[in-house]
Amino acid sequence: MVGNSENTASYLHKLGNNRLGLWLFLISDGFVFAGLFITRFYLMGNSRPELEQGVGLIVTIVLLISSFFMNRGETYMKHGNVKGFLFNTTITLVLGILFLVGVVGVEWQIAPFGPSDGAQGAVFYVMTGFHAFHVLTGVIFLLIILNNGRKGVYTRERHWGVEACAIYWHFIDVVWIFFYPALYLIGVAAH
Amino acid sequence: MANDLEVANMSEEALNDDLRAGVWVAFLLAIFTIGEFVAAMIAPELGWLLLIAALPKAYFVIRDYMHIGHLFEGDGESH
Repeated sequence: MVGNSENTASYLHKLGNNRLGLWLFLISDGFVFAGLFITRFYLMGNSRPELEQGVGLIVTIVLLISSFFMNRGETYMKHGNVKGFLFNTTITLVLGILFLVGVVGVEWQIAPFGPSDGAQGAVFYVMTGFHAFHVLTGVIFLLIILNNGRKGVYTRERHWGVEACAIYWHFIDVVWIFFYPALYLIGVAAH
Repeated sequence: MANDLEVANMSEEALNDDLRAGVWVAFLLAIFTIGEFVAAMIAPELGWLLLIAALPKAYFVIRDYMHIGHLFEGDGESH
């Protein structure tokens, strides 16, 4: 009995440390994104890359909805409902892949400029590329927790992997919340 | 038996409360996103002011989806 409560205390201690570690990583990663964000305004000022507004809005909505389902997946796991977790996390995964297709498969292909075409090319491809790489990492993370969830690794009391993946996924969302207006909305389209 | 049923109902209620909080945040995100898109189409000269819509969006995601509050609860007091 004592061993069990010691075990729980040790788990909770590790959980606190894990949370702190993940947040420190995300803050440092956030500084890189902040650097890109500032670079966009330094290089382009009040003009923005010439992009397809419809695609920008759709991929943004897709990513926001994916965050909603990620939150539901984590919530179900927190309440011990593995089925709900698997269902909602699978939807998150599909939406994450759709976002990647929208940015890399569509927007990159139809953009009327390439990565080497001046400031707008450099800004757009580096910002979306670096962000898309994080989405890809998040998709891999989602696949891992889905596989673990299917095997019954997570319980209502112990599901740090799910929580970490959810925090990481929402971080990607927060970055895009700032990148979307910076790339698509603010300023006049450059020609 | 009655006690078990009560506990099950309470946990079902807690789950629904948590899910509702998620829906509320999604609703706010949708409103702000549509708002900033419409504002940019109508008045592109707003420029930097459009970033104002991004701040509450980021705030709600960090507070309600990323649960930043858990960081300050000591050694993993809550899940």
